[in-house]
Formats: sequence, structure tokens, C-alpha cells
Amino acid sequence: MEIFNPDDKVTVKKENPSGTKRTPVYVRGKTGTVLTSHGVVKDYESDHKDFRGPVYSVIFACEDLFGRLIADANAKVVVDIHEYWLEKA
Amino acid sequence: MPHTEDIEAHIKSIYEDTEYWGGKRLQSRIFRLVRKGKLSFYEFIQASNEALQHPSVFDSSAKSEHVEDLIAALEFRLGDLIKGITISTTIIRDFLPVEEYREESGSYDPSFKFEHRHLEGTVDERLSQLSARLTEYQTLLEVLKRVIINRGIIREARLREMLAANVPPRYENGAHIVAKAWTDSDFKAKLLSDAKSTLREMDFALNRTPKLVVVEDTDKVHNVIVCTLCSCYPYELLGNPPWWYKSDEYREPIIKNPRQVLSQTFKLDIPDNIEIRVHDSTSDIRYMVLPKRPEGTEAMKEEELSRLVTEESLIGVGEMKRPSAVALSI
Repeated sequence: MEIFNPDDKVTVKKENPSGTKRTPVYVRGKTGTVLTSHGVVKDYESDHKDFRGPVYSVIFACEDLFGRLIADANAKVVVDIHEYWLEKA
Repeated sequence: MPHTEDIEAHIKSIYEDTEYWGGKRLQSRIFRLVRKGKLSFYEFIQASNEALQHPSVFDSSAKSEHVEDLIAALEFRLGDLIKGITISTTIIRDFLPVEEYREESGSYDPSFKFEHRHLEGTVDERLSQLSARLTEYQTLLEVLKRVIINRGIIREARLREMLAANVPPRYENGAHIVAKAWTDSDFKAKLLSDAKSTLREMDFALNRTPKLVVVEDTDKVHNVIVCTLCSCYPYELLGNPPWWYKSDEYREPIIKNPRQVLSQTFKLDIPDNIEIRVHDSTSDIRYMVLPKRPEGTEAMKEEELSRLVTEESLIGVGEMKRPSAVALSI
């Protein structure tokens, strides 16, 4: 079962907890909100044969990721992140 | 200059695709099949004698003064190469299975990695190197095709049939889906909640796409798609992305200041009060945008509506065609 639900605040771990290399560096250590809980999404064709658990679309304010000086004030980035990368914020 | 008109970036993008498909998807797969004892180099040597007797399968001699024409010709040949590799490797996968996961293919282990062979010199020199590279890979593909025919895995006539019949997916698939969603609210609701199984009912087989999410533009939110880590895209549904989709000039700034990038590069102005949501395809989920139905199209039928949809609008970076432009072309 999934630990998080839509609207939950979550923080991305800073260190790679092992496994997927696809959590982008720019969200590590940052806090966002769960937008969608997808459950387990498995790619049967490529390497994702190992069990990586549920994945969530997490939404972040661009300002929180890149700072007010650079980022667009009314823009968000949605990133798909596996559960073991996330902690309750 | 918008980067979409940048010749250097365009060449780089074709080069990277050529190396990806010819190097990683063709050459390294052949290497793997040999390493796993499924095929032998001797079979390739034998087959090459036969394959090279018919070198006319591709014309590598695009003659033009214009760089743009040369680039377009290369892009066309690359499309053919990709199609041939996809079909051949699908056939091989069924008969000569080898492990396909990324460690095995050398994606993560530097000692397994195939080095890229870079292009050097002036634009003309690099274009001719790129053309030679494509010829190499096309020839190798011809030989591979001959090997699997010789092995009796597929008959030559059948393979030719498959290559001729295979219509690669194109963004028009997305355009039809969008138009249907604009005119059928039940369909739209199903599409937004479970795109993959809804599209399966429309005969779009997305068996290599683990999950497809369609994101809807509203009065409050404008969606944009990117893949900052590589080039994830709903290939199986929409075909290849526009060439700039994989360029750093798109991927890096779009997540930081999307409004500015949309306005400056794509001439698409999104008012400040509309939230821009950039979806970074970081996992196995692929995205497509369901744009807003343009005003003044109430009387238009589904088929007509689908012609309003542009490739860029499915990524969230471009406008729809004007209704008047489509109406005139009927």
C-alpha cells in the first residue's frame, strides 16, 4: 500500500537511498506536495525489473527549487518520484 | 535567434540520435547477441557479402547547396534507420531473447560503454561525416536483416512487407485524441483518468509505454512537458519528438522560467495569472497535453478540430492553428 496521499507534503531525501538514478538533483532535499499517487508503475521492457515500489507525481513551486531571482513566481514543476525517496514533511 | 532555427543544435541533435540508434540500439545489441552466443560474427561476414550486392537500398548522395536541405535529407535517412532498427530488433527479441536491462546493455557500467565517435570540422565536414555514419549504420542494419533471414527467423518477403507496412506513429494520433476529447466528455473523463486503457479501446496499442498521463489545460493551468534527464516522450503514440525537445537549450531553462522560454523561444504568451505546470518525465510515466479547445470552434466537427492541433501544442509549447486556416483548407 502507498504511504502518501494526494495533498500530503513530502520532502525528497538528499542522498540516493539506492536504486533509481532518476530522481533529479534539483529536487533533492526539497519539499513539495503529492499531486497524484500512481501506485507501482512497471516498465516491462527496460531495466526496471527490480521492485521499486509506488511512484508519485510531486509538485514543487519553481521558486522553492531555484530561488526567487531566477524562477517564475506562478510556475510549478511536477516530478515523478518513487516512495523510498520521500519523507513526510 | 530562437534555438529552433539553430543549425548547430540541429546537427547535434541528429548526430546524437544517430549515435543512440546506430550505436546503442543497433551496434551494441549485435555485440550483445554475439557475446551471448545467439549470433556469430561469422554469420555477419557471410551475410555482408550478400547484403552488399544490393547497395541501392538507400541513397546517401543528397546533393544540395543548402545546408537545410542536407540536414532534412539526413533526418529522413535517420527516420528510416530508426524504423528498420525497431522492426528488426523486435523480430530478434522474439526469437533470440537476451537480457535487455540497462546494466547488461552497458548504460551504467563504464567498462561496457560504447564510446561516441564525435564529429569534427566545419558544418559541411560534419554533415558529410554524419552522412557517412548513417551509411555505416544503414549498411550494418542491412547485414543484420540478411542474418536473420539466413537464420530462417523470418522470410525475406515477410520482412519487406513489415518494413513497407509499418506506419510509424505520428503526432496526428495525438491530434485525433484531443479532438475526440473536445467533442466527447465521457471519453475525455476516461482519457484523463486512465489514458492507456482508454486508448487501447481506440486501437492504440501502447504495450511499451508503462503509463500514459494526459494533462488537461484549463483557465487556471497551462501544462508543459519535458524530460530533463534524457528524452522520455510518448514515442509509441506520437512518434519522435521535435528535434529541439532533447536540446539542453530547452530542457534546462524550461523548468526554471517556463513563461519566459515559452514567450521568447516559442512565441507563446501565457498570462501571469495562469499557473504554468512543467511535467518532468523522470520515471516510467509518459505525458501528453490536452490543450484548451480554441474559441470560435463550436460549430466544428471532430475531424476538422483535429486539424487545429499542432505537434507543439501536445507538448504545451505551441498554439493551435487558427480555425480560419483549417476551414480554408477543406
